[in-house]
Amino acid sequence: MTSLKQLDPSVCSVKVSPGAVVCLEADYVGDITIGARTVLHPKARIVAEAGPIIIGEGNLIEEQAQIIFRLPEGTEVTDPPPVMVIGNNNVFEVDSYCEASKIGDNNVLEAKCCVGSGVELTRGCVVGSLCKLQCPQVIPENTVVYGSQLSRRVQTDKPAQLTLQLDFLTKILPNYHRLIKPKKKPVP
Amino acid sequence: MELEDSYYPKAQYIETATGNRVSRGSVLCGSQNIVLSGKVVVLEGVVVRGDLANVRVGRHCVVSSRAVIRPPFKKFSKGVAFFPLHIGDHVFIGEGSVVNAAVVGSYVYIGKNCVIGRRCILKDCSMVADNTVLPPETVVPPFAVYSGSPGTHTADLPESTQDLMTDYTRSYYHHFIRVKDMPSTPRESATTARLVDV
Amino acid sequence: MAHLFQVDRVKLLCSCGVLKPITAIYLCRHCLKLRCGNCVSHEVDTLFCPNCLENLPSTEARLKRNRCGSCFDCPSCSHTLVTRATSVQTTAPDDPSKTSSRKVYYLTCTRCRWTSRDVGLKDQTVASGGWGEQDNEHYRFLQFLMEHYRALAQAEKLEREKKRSSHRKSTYLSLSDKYSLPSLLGRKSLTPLSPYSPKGDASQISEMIPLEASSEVEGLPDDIFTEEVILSSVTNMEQRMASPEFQPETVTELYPLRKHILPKRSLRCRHCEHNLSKPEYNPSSIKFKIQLGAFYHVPEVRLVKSIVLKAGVENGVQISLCNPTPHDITLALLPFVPEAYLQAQQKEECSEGGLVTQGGLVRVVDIPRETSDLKLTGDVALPQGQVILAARDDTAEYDDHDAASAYKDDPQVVAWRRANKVGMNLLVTPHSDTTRVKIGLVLRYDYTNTVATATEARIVTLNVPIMIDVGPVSE
Repeated sequence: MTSLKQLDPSVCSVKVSPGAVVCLEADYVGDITIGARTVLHPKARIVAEAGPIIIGEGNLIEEQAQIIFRLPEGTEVTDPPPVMVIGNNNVFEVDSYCEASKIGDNNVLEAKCCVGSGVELTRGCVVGSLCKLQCPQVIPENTVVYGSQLSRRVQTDKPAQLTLQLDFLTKILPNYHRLIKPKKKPVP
Repeated sequence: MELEDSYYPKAQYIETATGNRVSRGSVLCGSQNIVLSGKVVVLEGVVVRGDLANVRVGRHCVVSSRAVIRPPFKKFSKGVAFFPLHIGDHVFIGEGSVVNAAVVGSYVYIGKNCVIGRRCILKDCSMVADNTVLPPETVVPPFAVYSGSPGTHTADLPESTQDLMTDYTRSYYHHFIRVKDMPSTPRESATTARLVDV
Repeated sequence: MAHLFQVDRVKLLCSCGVLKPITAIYLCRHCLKLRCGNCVSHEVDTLFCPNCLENLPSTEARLKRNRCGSCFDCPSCSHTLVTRATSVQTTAPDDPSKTSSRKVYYLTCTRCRWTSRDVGLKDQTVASGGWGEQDNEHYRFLQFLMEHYRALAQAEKLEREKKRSSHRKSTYLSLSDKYSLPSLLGRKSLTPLSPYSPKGDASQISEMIPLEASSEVEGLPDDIFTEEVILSSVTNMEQRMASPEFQPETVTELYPLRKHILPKRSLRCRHCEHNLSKPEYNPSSIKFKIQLGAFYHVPEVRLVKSIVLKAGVENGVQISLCNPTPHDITLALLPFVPEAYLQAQQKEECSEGGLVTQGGLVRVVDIPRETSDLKLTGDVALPQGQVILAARDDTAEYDDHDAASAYKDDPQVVAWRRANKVGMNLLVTPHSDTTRVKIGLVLRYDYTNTVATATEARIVTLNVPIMIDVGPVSE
C-alpha cells in the first residue's frame, strides 16, 4: 500500500463539505456532493451514473451500503441530467441498497433492505431489514415497513437522534481511516 | 457427510502464528483492537470493524465471505459508546450475514444472509437459520433455532450440538487447504475505490 | 443441525421401528436398547423466560399462567418489548417555581416502532414491575365458578371416602405438582364434575346462578354499514388472537402481552424409568447432568462424499466411522435384513407389552404408531473382518504424533485412519428402477458399560441397524 493515493478524477468527483467525515476506502463513481456532518463508513458504495447525487447533512452511511443512481434502460438522457437528492439525517445501514430518486429527511433504511427506483421516501420512514420495495410508490410520512409480509404501520415516536452517534464517529473514524479532504469553501 | 476440501491460494491469505487464516480481501479496520484467538478462518470480503470497539473472536471460528462483524452502539446516560463484541469458540457465521450483536456465545451457527440486530444476545449452542432477521435486543436462549423475520423460536437443537459444532468447525479448518497457485477468478473491483497516485 | 453434516442421511433403527438420525436417538444403558423421541417420556425439568433467562419455579409459573413477570411482547408484531427511559420535567406540588426532572419509562418495540404511549398507557416511574394486568370483565365470574366446582369436588370426594372403610392419603396433589396439571384434573377427580351429580352440603357451597342461554342476539349497530373502515386502525387476526380473552378490535386497545415461558425437558426411558437426558438447572447452561445420547455412545457412520451412482454397476462408496467413547471399540459390519428385524421386534414387543402399561406414574397415551419405510433399494458388499476404532482423545489435536500407525490395518477393509475415525469402502449396486439408493447394514460393536453392576457384563456386544441414503442414481 503506497501512500498518498487519492480518488481517480476520471471516474468520480466527490465534493465534501467541511465537517463531513468521508472515508477514502469506499467506492465512488460519478459526481457526488456530500453535506456537512455526514459520515460515510469505509466500503460504502455510491454510484452516480445517470446524474449527480446530492447527499444532505447529518446522514449516516454505513459499510456495504449502496446508493445507486442509474436510469432504467431505454430512457433518454435529458439535458440537464436528473439529480438524486438525499435529505438530512438519514441512516443507510449495512448492506442496504437504495435506487430511489428522492429521499427526504429522517428516514432509516435498515440492514439489507432494498429500495428500488420509483419509490419515494418522505419523512421519518423506516424500511425494515430484508424488506424489498420495488413498485413505484410514495411512502407516506412516518411509515414503518417491516417483516417478510412488508406490513406497514405508522409510528408515533419521534425519529431517533443521530447527533450523538455522528459526533462519536467524527471523533474516532479519522484515527483509523484515511478521509477525503473537504473543500475549503462550503458547498452552496 | 464429511466436509469437502476447499482450497485457498497462498498469496491471498495470511496465516498467523496462532493458526488464523485471514484473507487479504477482507477488511479488518482497527486491527489492533481485533483479537482472533486461534485457528480462525476469515474468508474474503469480510468486514470487521475493530475501529469502533474491541472485537474478540474465539478459537476455531469460521467467518464466511462478505459477512460484517460490527460492534453495536449503546447510548448511556453519560454519553455514547460502541460496545465491545465477544464471539465465543467454534462459531460459524454464514455468507453475507450482518452481526451487530452484543454477545455471541460459543458453538453458535449463524446462517447465510442473516441480520442480527443491535445488542442481541446469542447464547451458547443456538442457531440462527438462513435469511433470518433478529430485531434489536433479541435474546436467543440455548438450543433454540430462530428463523423468519422477525426471528422467532421455531425449532430445537439436539443435545449433541456442542460436539457437532466443535467437529464442524474443526473439520472446516482442517479441510481448508493451502495451495501454491489457483486459477485466479476475475475479481470485480466493485467495492474498492479506484485509486491513483497523486 | 441436519444441514451441518447432513446427519439425516444416515438413520438408526430405534427399538420401536422408527428410523431417526443419530442426534435424535438415545441409548438406554440399563435396557441396552436404542430409544427415540417417541419411546421416551418427556418431562418438564425447569421453566425459564427466553428473554431474561430467569428460572421460574413451577408453582409460581402456574400462578402467573406460564408467563414471565417482567418481559413483554409487542401486541402489534410479537417481538420483545424494550423499556426506554426519558426524563420529564415536573413541578413540585408545593412550590410551582421549582422544576425537577425524574425518569419515566415506557415500552417500545424496536421492530415495528409500537410504543405503550400509542394505546394511551401512562409512563411508569419504575423501570420494571409497574405494568399491571388488564382487567378482564369475565374474570370474577370465572373465579367464582372455579371456587364453586372446587368446593363441589371436595365435598363429593369426602362423601366417597366416607363410604370406603379405609382411609387413604390422597396423593393427587403430589401428582399434579410433578406434572404441573391443575389440581382439578388429577386422574381421580375427573368424574365428579358431571352436572348431574348430587349437590353436597348446601351450607358449604354457595348458590351458583347458571348462565341463561337465549336465542336472541343483539343486532349489528347501524353505523357498521355507513361508517368507513380505516384499515390501519383495525387489528389483524394474529394481533387479535394473541390475547384471546380480550380480542381487541381496534389498534388503540392493544395491550402489551406477557412473554411465554419455555421449559427445559428431561427425558426418561419408558421401559426402565431411568433418565436418558437431564439438563442443568441454569437456563444459560449447555451442560447436562445426564447425557445418554446415541451420539456419545454409538459409533457414528457418515458418508464421506456426495456422489451420484451409476445404475447397474458396482459403485464405490466411502463411509467414515467415528468412535465417541473413551474406550477402544471393535466393530464389524454385517448385512441387514429388514424382515428379520421386524419379526424379532414384534416378538419382543409382545413380551414387553405388559411392562409398558404398568409403568409407574407415567400416563401412557395411545398414539398412532409412527413407522418408517425399511425398503432397501441397493445391495451393498461389506468389507469383512473386524476393525478397531481408537478411543476418543481430546488432547489429540495438540499432539503432533500420529498414533494411527499403532494399528495394523488391512487395506481392503480400512481405507484411512485418523485419530478416532476410520474410513471404509463399500461397493453399492443400485436395484433397477430406483431413483434414490438406500442401503442397510448392521453395526456390531462392543460397548463398555461404565455403570454395569456385578451381575451384568461389563462389555456388551450391541447390534445397531443403520440405513444410509447414499444418493441419487443417474440415468
